Amino acid sequence: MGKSSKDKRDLYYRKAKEEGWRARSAFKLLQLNEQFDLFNDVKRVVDLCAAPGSWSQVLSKEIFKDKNNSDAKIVAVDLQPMSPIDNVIELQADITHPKTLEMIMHHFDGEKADFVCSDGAPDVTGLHDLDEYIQAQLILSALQLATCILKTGGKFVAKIFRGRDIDLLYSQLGYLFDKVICAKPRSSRASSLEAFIVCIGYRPRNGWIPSLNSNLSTEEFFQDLKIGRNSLNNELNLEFNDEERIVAPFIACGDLNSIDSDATY
Amino acid sequence: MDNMKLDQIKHIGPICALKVISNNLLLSGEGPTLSLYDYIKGEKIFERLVFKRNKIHGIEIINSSNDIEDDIKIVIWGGRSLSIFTLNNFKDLNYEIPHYGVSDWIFHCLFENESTLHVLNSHNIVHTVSLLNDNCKLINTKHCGWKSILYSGTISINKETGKITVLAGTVMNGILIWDFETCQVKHNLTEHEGSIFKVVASPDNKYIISCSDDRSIKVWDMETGELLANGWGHGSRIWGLNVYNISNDGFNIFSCSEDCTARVWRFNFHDNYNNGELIQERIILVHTGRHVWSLDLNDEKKLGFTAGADGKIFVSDLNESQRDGYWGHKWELNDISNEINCVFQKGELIKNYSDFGYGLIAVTSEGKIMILKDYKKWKLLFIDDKFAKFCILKIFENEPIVIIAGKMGDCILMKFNENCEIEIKHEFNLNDSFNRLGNILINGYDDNYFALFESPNPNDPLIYKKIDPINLSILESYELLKPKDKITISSLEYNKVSNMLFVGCRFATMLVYKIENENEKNQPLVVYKNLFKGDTVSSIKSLYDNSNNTMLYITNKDGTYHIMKINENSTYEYLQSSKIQKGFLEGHIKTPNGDILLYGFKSDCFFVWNETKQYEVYREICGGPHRRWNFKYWFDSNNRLRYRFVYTRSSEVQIVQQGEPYAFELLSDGLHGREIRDICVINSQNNNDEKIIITGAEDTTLKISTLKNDGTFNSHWTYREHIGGLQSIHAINDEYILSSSAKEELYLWKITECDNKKCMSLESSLPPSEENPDLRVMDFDSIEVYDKINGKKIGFLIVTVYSNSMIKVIYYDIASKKFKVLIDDNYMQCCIFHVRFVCIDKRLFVLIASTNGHLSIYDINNVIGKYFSIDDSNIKEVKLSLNDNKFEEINESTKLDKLIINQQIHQSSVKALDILQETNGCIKVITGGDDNSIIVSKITKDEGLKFDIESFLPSAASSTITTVTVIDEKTVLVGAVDQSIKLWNIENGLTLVDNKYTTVADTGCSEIASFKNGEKYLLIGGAGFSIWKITN
Ligand SMILES: C[S@@+](CC[C@H](N)C(=O)[O-])C[C@H]1O[C@@H](n2cnc3c(N)ncnc32)[C@H](O)[C@@H]1O
Repeated sequence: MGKSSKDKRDLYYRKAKEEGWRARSAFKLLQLNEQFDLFNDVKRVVDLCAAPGSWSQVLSKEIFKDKNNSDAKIVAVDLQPMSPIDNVIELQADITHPKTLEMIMHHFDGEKADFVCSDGAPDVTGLHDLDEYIQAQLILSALQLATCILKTGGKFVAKIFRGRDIDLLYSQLGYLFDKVICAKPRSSRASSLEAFIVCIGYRPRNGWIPSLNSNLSTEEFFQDLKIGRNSLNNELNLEFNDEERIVAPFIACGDLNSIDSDATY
Repeated sequence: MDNMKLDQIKHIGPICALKVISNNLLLSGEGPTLSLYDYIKGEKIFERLVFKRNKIHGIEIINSSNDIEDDIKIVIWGGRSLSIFTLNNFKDLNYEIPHYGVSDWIFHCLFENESTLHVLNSHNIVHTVSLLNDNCKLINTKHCGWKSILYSGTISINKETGKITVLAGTVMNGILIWDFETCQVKHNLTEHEGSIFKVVASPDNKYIISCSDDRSIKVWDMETGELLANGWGHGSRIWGLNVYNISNDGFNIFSCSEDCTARVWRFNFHDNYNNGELIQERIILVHTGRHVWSLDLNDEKKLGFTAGADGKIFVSDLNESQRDGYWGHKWELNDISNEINCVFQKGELIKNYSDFGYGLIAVTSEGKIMILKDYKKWKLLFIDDKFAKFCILKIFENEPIVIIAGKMGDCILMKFNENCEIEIKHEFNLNDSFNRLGNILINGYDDNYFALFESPNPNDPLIYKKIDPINLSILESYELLKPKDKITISSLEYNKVSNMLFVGCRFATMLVYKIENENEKNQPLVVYKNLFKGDTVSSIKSLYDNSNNTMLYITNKDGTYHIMKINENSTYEYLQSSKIQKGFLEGHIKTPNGDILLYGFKSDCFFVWNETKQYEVYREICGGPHRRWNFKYWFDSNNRLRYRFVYTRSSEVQIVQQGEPYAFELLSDGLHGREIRDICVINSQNNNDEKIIITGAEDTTLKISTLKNDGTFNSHWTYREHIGGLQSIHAINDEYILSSSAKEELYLWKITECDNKKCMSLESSLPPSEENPDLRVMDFDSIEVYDKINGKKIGFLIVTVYSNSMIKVIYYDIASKKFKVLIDDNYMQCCIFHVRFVCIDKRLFVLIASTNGHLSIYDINNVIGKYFSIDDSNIKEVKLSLNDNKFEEINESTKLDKLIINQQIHQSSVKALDILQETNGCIKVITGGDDNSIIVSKITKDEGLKFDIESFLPSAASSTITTVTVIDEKTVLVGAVDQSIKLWNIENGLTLVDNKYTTVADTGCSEIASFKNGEKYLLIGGAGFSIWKITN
């Protein structure tokens, strides 16, 4: 996928060191926030695929800036272990496992979340279609959780790689949110295919009550939710080309004068 | 409206599935196309598009009616698609291939029997499908209660009991083994780290074999789940493996990896399972770039098949020692001593070998001369003190004539017959010429045989002697004077065209002699010094073709090789120069089909490398630096390379002679091993029916190929000059191209043709601006510069742009091969993606496009006008000429003049750009961006320049547009990472003309090849390469 990110000396990397972020990714979330005012009114958050934790750091700083914030909560999940961050509940687990989602729900104890984000990226194999598929699965797992935990009007942000089937995902998200935008922060390299979907205004599907069942895979979970996904049938005659595809509007975010991540010095 | 159309005619790209279906047939998944190969004959028999979009990721078969090949039932899958048909159906073009699908990515399919198929998906769920009456029907779905995402999985059936087991590799260290019947998890094996990329069961279902992110292969007991052994060795992640050769003793594993190699491992049942270690038996390096994803085995014939990102399919012989004609043996010195009935002294070693075609002659450090008859039985020939301690032993390539010589110049020539007996012997010494002998080189051509004797004394001449091959008498003898500097000779060749003798030496030096008058002292005609940066010229071979040129193939110890052309006036040029990735070169071989093989050493191995097709032909571990070796090769009646290699390793003499190969080595040639980043098309200088194509990739190589007007594509040479991944390649004209990459490399290449191949050689390179170059040279453009008086081409004006916003305008002088920087400046602080010179009304501008979404134009006439004048008013081609002598005066660079246009058009990076010069003098700029949009803008002459956006289409693709290529005055091609390639009419707004899906993922570059006869081809590069025909 795109070019290998070899250059550790870039300015965002140094800036992250200076400002105390664990990864340069922090700036991606900060620039997304600049554009979409994501943190406004946000108190309860799930940060998926969070290691080493710079998004959680950003969120923790934002949400707990005023001390008495009793109903605020941040749950961060990753396959990798993460060193502790103030006010963040950390779980080491696979987000594609239905049990992990149950575990997260458990921490919220029936309460809704305002914001679900995922900066997940799989182990890239170089098989572009497989890599894109697994990436899409990480997003679907995050979305699955979002449909169960997000309050109406809540926000969802996830990392995407804009490969050949990204328009399918845009179209499916369109059924669940008021606005679906493809955003590219300037801190994300132009030479990589990375971008973020920013979904604003969660709208639960009429008549569909999402319920986590650890016996259902992500794919099965979405099967009777009519969002244009193909579902398994007895004749195995899936007509993939009939699946809806749309292109989400693109917005570049971060000030034009901010550092260009492609320029190396 | 036009009906321009695109049709794909060729695709080279990643191969994600291989399946052996018989003792001569192999199926290969090449994108959505399934190909059938005969690996005995080395032919592709048939190919057919079987999927619409998805790549084939797996193939399984069932063959119940054993003998009838056509009845073999095949299932192929890829992504969520699957299809089932017989081999007969596949070959019958009237048969419509059915297309089925499940709702999740498929990792494996297994035929339980002719009418039942199990399908494992990426969430660890198995669907069972009934295939009765040629209908597919889902009959059952099972799981083990653990439905997280997998990275691999296999359904395995125990052939004896019929019991089915599912082996699933998760992303979090674990392998889940579950029983299909009961859905019970039997084991959760967690000793790997990271994602599990492959897990299979041994054919007898007693063992589990797995590999992962952690670069290890693990063997587990199926029954107990106990970890039995680890295999370490692969340098990167391991993608695939399989088990073969099961016996009472143990089994072998064949694995393939991200490190470009396939490896053979041994697992023995006794020895307490090798103390928990898998023994690595062999490394096979036959792929380039990065990934070898697919493998399969023919267990009966012991063949291994591999394929991956480079599009190559390779067949490895896993049982070489069982092939007809194979001979491998090793002797301890004791064995030899017993055989020849003669005691070796303490410390006595074999110092030299020579293979004369019927046997081998060897000499020890105590002057024992021995024969290895038929390569099997040692015999003592004689013992002579004269050859003790120091001895030279050489053999002519095509005649069983051996020369042996001692330190004091005593020489014996011997000719052997087929029984390894001396037929004729001729002794002489060199006392007349010198009293110490340092080295002898020998060579021959037609019926001429000659030797060159060198003394260690720098004042002694070289002695050239011509030898009669019949009676071994010396026919002629000459003295060749050495140049003043100390030289050490290393290689020798005679060239018939020029009638010259070439002597290669250490320190990249070559001497040339013309031998004319006997007994006279011959001075070297020429002494070439510093031929290249490295060390010794290790071999020289004449290259004869239809031309009357003096051309030589030279290989060098440092791993470089060249085709050197010697001109009439003794100057030389390289027509071809390149280097191997790693190692020292000893020589080169040209095969009857024209492939060039190179051989030499790397670390502890001797290797033979096919440079044309880029794979290792042979590798033998033969130990450290003080090597004693002899490599003898020939071609059999099928024109296949055969060889014998003899060497000493830890005082043992070892011989390996390769047997008759069972299968064909290379079934598909492939192209680059990683994503192609740019394509350049130029005209062939003497053939209108072909174009020269240069491709450059992330794998840091450039390749030169040809495309014929009937669509045939052939790759000729590979270049490893760049250290960074390629960025851009553009032609200056039909003779020169430039290539750029990360690490601030900008290389100028000259294109020529020789030895029936297109070739190129590095002409010059732009010195980087930093000591530790880290910038990417993103793009560049060029204009030819002519001499004002005689109109001859004398240089190029070049503009380069960099990842740190730097812009340089440079003049290149052809005669001195030097660059001179005229302008050195910065745009802003963002990365510049594209640059073009544009000429409007005889004024020259630089147009750039950057990550900030802007198109910007600089006026450079003030600076350029000082040195050049724009002569030709032909707008399509700018003609610059150099004002007299001004070039000499340029001492330092200046800054750019004013930025006259700087307009944001795209939201973020301008990823693709092409320009169209219209006949009315204005210029159209077509750009595509990260923001999915296409914009057509127009630049016209005004007081300054006027810039307008003509048309804008925001969602022209569903993802980043990465390439735009102008096809003709009204049509452009636009390619995007969503794998769409679209033709747009840009006359009035943007109108879609054709829209196709390409199998090339990470679609990143395109070029057009227009032939004189009207044929037009479109070339698309990315993770693969495809050729499309454009028709009206
Ligand atoms: C780009 S990093 C996230 C960086 C993070 N947002 C930060 O700011 O520090 C991507 C992460 O995705 C995680 N990941 C990938 N697949 C996952 C899965 N199935 N479950 C949980 N985490 C996963 C990886 O372990 C990795 O840490």
